[in-house]
Amino acid sequence: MVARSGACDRCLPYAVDGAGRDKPVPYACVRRRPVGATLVVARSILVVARSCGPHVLRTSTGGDKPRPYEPAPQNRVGATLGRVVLAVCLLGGGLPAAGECASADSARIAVAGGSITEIIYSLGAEDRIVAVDSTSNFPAAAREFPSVGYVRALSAEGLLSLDPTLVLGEDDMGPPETVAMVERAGVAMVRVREVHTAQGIIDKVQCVGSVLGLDDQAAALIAAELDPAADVLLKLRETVTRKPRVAFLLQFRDGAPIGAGRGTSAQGLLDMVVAQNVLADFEGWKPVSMEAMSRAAPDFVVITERGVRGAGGAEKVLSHPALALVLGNAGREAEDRLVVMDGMALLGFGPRTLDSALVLAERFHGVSGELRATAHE
Amino acid sequence: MSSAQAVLDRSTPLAGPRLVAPRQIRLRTPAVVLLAMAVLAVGTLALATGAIPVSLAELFRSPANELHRSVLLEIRAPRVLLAGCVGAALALSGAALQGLFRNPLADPGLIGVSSGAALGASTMIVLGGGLAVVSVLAPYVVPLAAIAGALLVTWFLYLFSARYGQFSIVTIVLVGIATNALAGVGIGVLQYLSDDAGLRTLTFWMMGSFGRATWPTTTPAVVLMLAAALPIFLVARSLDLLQLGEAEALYMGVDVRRLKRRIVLSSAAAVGAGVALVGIVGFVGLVVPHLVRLAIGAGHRHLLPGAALLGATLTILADTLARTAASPAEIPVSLVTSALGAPFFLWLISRERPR
Repeated sequence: MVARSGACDRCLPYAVDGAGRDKPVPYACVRRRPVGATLVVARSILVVARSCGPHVLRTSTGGDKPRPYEPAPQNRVGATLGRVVLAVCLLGGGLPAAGECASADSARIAVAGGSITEIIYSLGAEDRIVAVDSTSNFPAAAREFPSVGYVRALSAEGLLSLDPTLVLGEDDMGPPETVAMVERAGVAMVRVREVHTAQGIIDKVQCVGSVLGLDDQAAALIAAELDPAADVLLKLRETVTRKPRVAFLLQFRDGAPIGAGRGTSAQGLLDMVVAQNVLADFEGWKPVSMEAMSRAAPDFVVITERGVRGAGGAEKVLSHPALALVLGNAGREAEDRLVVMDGMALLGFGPRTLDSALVLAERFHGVSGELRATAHE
Repeated sequence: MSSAQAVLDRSTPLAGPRLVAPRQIRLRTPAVVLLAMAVLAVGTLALATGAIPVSLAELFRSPANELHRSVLLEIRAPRVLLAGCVGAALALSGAALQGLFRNPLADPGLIGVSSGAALGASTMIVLGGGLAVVSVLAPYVVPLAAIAGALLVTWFLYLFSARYGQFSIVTIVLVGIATNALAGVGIGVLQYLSDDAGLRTLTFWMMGSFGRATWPTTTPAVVLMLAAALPIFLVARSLDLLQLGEAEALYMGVDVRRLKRRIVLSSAAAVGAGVALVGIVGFVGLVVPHLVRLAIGAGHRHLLPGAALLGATLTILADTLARTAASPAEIPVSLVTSALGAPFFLWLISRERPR
């Protein structure tokens, strides 16, 4: 099931995380309750049932949204039953892309979400962007666009003033009132689903591609770069015998490292690179005590560049008691076991995340350069 | 209302401690009228200003530009109205609480009433999720919880001060720090407990700004704030008498307990309804009453409406600045009010040096 877990990696209020350029500090993130998951299943059945029924009418020219579903009055029960049966069959055979990614008028796009910006750039459609949010820091050129602020604190009039035809955002764009207001003003709002797996990234690219009407470019990008990388990671799963033990840290807050537990985007990343999350006995992002850290005994510690900057440099990080205890005293070996990378590249779940995953996998499994070479053949 | 107080309220030059200099008396009523005009002027200005250049004439043009119309009526109008009402509610509560505690530093934000409201609202968002969805009262649920939280804090402060005698200026700030910290703990625990959806709502809510104002959310808040504010205006005279001291006010026919209850209840409700929608807006409740006192004196019959009007004016201005300064992004409005309010706060403290 594709119910999102760890959906809230960006929970700190705007004022605290400043510009929010990296993915800022999260608070506790808890996995969606079973009720939510059931709801998602029910909804996707409905979506599939609708899109499979005879009533979907999509004009091929304008890229309009599908018309609202209105069952024919005479055989409503039979038709619904038929669709449910069909939906169950389809569920068994894998879900087709749901209707969220229908193509829209994308002449002027306001982007809310760093990974979406990244994908639009890699599809070569950056000339359609009119504004980005403050998490869009890659590629560097993206920072030249007007900023609509933090992805979770968008302003309705600010967005409308850019006269966009489309607001394309990640799952967590908001607040909901702003989204509703912009939608009422007649601007298409598309939310791209985020799932923290390699396939999730590929789906995201595909989704953005079809929204922009660039299905071919998206398919080419996936075939050339993303699929090979995902394949390499998938093969790794079969060959690895011992999963390296890894702790993922976001940054230090009040002297304590904030670690990624179950259900976080970092958990998704570690699963991708066939590593074991040693902090998985708690959910969400939480401060990790020295003792918990030493009991977890990670082989590797991953930390974001922002976290290192915040702590005052790599030496400071290595000499932090929590890390010195598990990585050994600063020295060649300790440095090898500390992995420092850009937070958005790791956790943005755009195309870059796959590259980062390869780099991480090489570090963890001790195969320098091989994986990337295979992926880029 | 007790008959003694009723008599007092209707009358009379009998009691009247001279709270203002004669020169100021002549200026008071025109000043309040002037402030009312300022609210209208600033409101119109705010309606006409924004990221999208729209002229107000658009409203009367007959094939109207739909987008411009909806920007004016659906986005800006509720926002300006809400900013005005929240500013007025905060300043009015600040003025009333300062009168009640007889302490110039009683401000809903400073003494913890706002954080109490924040705690109440967060509790409802996180733990009362099911309740809010099924109920027809959905738009009222969070504001009511915020009011309950604000009430709890105000009541606690009142009991605390009743037990330990009058708060000194420093004590009230210290108690405020403690209250704010307690509320912070509560919110932290809620964040820890909440599930994904609750956490997201909570985060959106805590970044509160006037940008969330839509008619369906603004209308109930405004109704609540107006209903809460009215009783405060009616006790202006009694508040004046209270400045002489509780015993003295009692001898002059003021039902002090009743007065306290009314002010605590009303100001908590007014602040809670505002906070529930826009989060904590700092310093308006502190600064505005002082400005009004400086201009037209401390008599509550003019101070209360004056503070409400000036509070509305300044908050609308601050919000307009917040949404235009970094356009198309927004800066949090509390940043603007705190930037203006904090220095004023320092100045106020420096004036209170022991003589």
